[in-house]
Amino acid sequence: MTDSTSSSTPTSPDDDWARFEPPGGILVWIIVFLEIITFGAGLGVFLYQRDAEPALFAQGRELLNQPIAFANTLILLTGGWFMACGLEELRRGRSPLAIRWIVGAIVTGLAFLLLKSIEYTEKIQHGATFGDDAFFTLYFALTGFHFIHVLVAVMILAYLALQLKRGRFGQDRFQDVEAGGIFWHLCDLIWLLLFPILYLL
Amino acid sequence: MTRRNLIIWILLIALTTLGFVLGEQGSVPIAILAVAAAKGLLVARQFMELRNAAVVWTFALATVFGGILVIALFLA
Repeated sequence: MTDSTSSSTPTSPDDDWARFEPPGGILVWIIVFLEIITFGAGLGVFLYQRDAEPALFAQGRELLNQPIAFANTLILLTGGWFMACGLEELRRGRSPLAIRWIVGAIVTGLAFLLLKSIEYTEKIQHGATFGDDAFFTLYFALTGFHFIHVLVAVMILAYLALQLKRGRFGQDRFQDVEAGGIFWHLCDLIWLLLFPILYLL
Repeated sequence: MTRRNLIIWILLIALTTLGFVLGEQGSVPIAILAVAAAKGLLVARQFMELRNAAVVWTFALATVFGGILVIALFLA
């Protein structure tokens, strides 16, 4: 006679939760979903308004700098890669290497902010500012809100790099670093929506 | 650095270049938005590591992210 219970290993509720819980913990993912929905709503308004004023939006789009936006997309995605590499190294217990990758991600974030500032300066020099018309109001609102996200993400990564340098996150405790990484990648995801809809369509 | 992350990054750079070229040539919106959807999925599954989590998370994110792109396609 065989023991019917020996074929399956009992799992605790903690094991089940660990398998279900997304990387970084559930709270940062609530932020991810809310932010994407918020930007999605903003882009919906942009496209709806474009339908109402096609000439104005075509004229506004002519003033956008597509090459800078393209370069910024490459920069953000490279920063995402750096952060993913940083987490890999952290899990292998190689904190000094992880810190280097995270610092690399911070540099890409700063490069993004610099290029975006140059783009904003160009617009302002052309006399296009927030509140001028529907196109530039929505353009500055959407990209400006994203700019703030990248700035906050850079600050989070700088804080995490500093804490790692001080040895605050051991190999068994890096959910905070994962959560910071998720917020960083959220900036990528939002930009992956803004770039094609604002600049390419 | 893992080989997988490097390959994903190269794919993302290639897709971004493709999307930019399609946009500059005035290609149909569905092509540009399909490239954006593919990039979003790669970032979420690989860089955000949803491949290691319950599949429901990928499904939920794909629904929200893809839903926005589908709405954009209808409004574009």
